[in-house]
Amino acid sequence: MKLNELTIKKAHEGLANKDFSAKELLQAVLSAIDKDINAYLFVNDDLKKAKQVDEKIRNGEEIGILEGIPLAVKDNIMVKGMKCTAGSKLLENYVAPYNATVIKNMVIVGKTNLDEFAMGSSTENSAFGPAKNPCDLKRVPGGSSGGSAAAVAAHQCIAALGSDTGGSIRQPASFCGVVGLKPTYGRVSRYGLIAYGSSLDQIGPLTKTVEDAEILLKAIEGKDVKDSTSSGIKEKDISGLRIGIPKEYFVEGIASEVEQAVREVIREYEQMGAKVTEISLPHTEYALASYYIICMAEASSNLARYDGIKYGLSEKGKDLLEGYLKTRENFGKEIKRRIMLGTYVLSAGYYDAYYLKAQKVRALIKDDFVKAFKKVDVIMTPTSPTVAFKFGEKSDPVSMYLSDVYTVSVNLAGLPAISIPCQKEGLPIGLQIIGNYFQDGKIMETAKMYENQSA
Amino acid sequence: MKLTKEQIKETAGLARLRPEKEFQKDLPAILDFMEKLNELNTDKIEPVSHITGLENVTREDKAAGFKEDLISLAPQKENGCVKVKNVL
Repeated sequence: MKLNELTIKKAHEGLANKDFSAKELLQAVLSAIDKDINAYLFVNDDLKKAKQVDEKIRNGEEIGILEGIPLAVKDNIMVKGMKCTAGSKLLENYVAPYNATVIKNMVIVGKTNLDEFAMGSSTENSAFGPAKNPCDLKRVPGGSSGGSAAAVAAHQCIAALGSDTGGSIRQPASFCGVVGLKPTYGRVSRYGLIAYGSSLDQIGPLTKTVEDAEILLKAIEGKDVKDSTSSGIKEKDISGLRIGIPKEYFVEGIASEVEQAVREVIREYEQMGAKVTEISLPHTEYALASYYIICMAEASSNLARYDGIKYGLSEKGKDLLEGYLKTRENFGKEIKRRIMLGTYVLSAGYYDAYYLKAQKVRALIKDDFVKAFKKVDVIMTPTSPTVAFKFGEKSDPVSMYLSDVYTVSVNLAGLPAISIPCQKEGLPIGLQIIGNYFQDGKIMETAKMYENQSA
Repeated sequence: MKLTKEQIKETAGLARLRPEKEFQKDLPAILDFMEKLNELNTDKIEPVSHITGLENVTREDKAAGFKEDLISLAPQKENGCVKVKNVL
């Protein structure tokens, strides 16, 4: 097995046993990176950190489980001294002046490609060309963390960090056949994550195995005084496994191969002894509309800062206003659409009809889950209604939004969810496991049951 | 949901964006998609303010110092301050 194909666990064991050096591990990963898949916007070929880890090992010091492990970071998460473009021309030459809280003592291979400002479900909205799905280069890797998912799937990193606002970790994980976890809202600090939808965003791991996701989550989670929306809540231990299957997730629009694969996995869980029941999440059909109103409203506010005054692209105009207009003309089409709609739904006369209404529907959606979790421990659904679609296939904005149908409710409710690959052959298909608040460990434990069984 | 040229111009003004022809074409369809929420009666529902129920998390208002790093990124600066064209 090539060094870049290792998991975090195996790579750490190899380093600790002195089977190979951190420098060799990093070099193996770097040589696997290609321009074709375009997973990276920026590659860091500095071996200094890796050599420092090797020095520690030579001196007989113990190394942490992530020390020396080459990780990829989505380009909307700040890494000090490296460019942070958010996939946008507005930040094309912006160099991060500080580290995001999640960036600990890590070997960072580079910054991965994404839909501009994390808005999109295919990475086609990147201002620097899309990333491609390593399983089929004519298909999208998903989005917005498409670069991170592609890098993990193509072994161009050992593991990666991404961000998820409406499915942006889970859906690309599903399309590329890797594991992707969106933690409970507040579990991981958002400090240093370029904000898109502040009440929805979470940073999370994309990895080759569920065990690796557990390792990476442990390293990045925790209450952070710099993020006032973060929590340090402890997970409650629950035993037994009652699985809920929401009937509203298996209606028209789901591809037959996706439904087949997911129902097959659920059968396997039953054979393992889990109790499976049909449940109802009655407000599911309203989730997309509620989600898009809220995230566009929050995005319009969060993107107001890109005005060319404090940092980033700055176009000159005859006066202040013209400077703003010329600078902000450089946003991609989808960004402008969302800023316009977000501004509209927040403006006087429309706020009640749209944003306030959406936040009320959000309360109903959250309540559906609260009621369901009184009867079951985890909820299982497909991650995406289809497998990876082809480039250009979803050029109509609404058709792109519809592909998020299974993931957005989770962000609206603030719950944790993981996507694990469940298709043995053909294009990857993801199973989504949703947990109750701060039950991130429980859903990963549940995911491992299937992973261990199908190994 | 029809969006008039005036509404687009007004919204673009608020968003500091130049109004573009595509807005008239693309935005109404997306707004229609959002209209679906009107099927629900939410009169007695409280809107979600914070999803995990946290309230009023505060910290001391103390500067954490890396001012030079931040100011250095500004396209126009003078005497340790960000420079801006006149507002008025």
